Amino acid sequence: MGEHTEDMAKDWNIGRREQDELALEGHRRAVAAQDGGFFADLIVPVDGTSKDHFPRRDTSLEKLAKLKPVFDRASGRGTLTAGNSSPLTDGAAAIWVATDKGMDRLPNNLPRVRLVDFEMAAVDIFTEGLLMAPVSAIPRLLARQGLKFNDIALWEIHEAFSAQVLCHLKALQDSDFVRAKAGVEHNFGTFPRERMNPNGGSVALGHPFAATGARILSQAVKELAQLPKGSRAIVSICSDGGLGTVALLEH
Amino acid sequence: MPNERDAVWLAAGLRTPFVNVDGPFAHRDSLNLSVPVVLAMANQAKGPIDFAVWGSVVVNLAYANLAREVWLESKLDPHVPTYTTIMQRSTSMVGVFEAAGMLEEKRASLAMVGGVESMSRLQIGLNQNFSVWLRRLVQARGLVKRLSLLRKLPCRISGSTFPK
Repeated sequence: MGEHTEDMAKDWNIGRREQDELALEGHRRAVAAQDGGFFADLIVPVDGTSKDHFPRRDTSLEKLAKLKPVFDRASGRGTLTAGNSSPLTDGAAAIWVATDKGMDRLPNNLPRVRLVDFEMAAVDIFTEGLLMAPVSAIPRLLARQGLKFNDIALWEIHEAFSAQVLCHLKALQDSDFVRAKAGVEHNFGTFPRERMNPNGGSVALGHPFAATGARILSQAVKELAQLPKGSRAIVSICSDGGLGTVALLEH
Repeated sequence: MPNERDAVWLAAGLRTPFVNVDGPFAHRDSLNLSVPVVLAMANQAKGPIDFAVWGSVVVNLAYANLAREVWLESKLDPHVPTYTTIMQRSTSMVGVFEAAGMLEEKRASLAMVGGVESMSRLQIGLNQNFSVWLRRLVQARGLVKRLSLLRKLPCRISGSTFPK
């Protein structure tokens, strides 16, 4: 997957420094979230461990810049490193899905939001970029709901690699690409990057593959529940095999 | 989604801390790593959970329906249907979509959905010991460490010769 993402980074002209900057920002946000107690009621302590291991307090752009590429080691153009890629992770996560009747069986203080809509997409992994499917799914979902980027108060975009996120952001703002791949006209405006992954993403928090969906959705539910009523969130995950899933949530 | 269907809600769930490979959860496979989360979730519910969906991308060769094994290992009500789903990194998100579809159709009211990954205990179609040794060899940085691991190659691929 890393080799594919190296190809995506080259196709979209995503540089090493911007990948490292995104990774660093993720670590800073995750550490701040840990210190602020954001994860306290989302995590069950197990075997005496109660905190995520991966958010790094001591990292910096200088330290990240020293890491060697791990997937493209030969061409001299490799940009993906251990610092800007999600780490191999042990973990489990769960989330509740309920109707009104089902919600009555859960504690009143659990953060809750409505699942408004969702979209799945797939791409040809040989020609379209292994992790680019969300760039088809997000515009379709927004178009179906008549929404623009700015109507979404919170974006939780899974970070398999910083490069993949940056490819997504660039592609989502490319009208020709969106028209060709998603089959909808691009009238979504400018992507509000400052609303993305406010408490860190998978590069900083870790990525136990099958658990990431529940982790990122639970995190989005809690974040969105703290925003004004009517606020919306998009949660996006790219998957191996050229797959992507996207959910639209509303407080 | 048509209006006549029930609204579907997501309520924040629970997770383990996320930790490094060969770290504090290295002794827990996908089943044993799931149980604390499933139990803590079940303890939140004030009424019956109608069904549960669980998944794991790296398949544990011992469990065909991991969800069922996790549920039974957690000693929860065995009458609750539990099934396993997979869609790579989207596994537990697509599990939510599946559950939402069933809830919308008024077939159920409350579902627990989740997933697990034990990268410390992954199996590569070989036995567990040889799989761990091989994974460490592939991940080893530098020739010295790789040679050290090669010297520890289990004489017998099965059994207890694997060095800690």
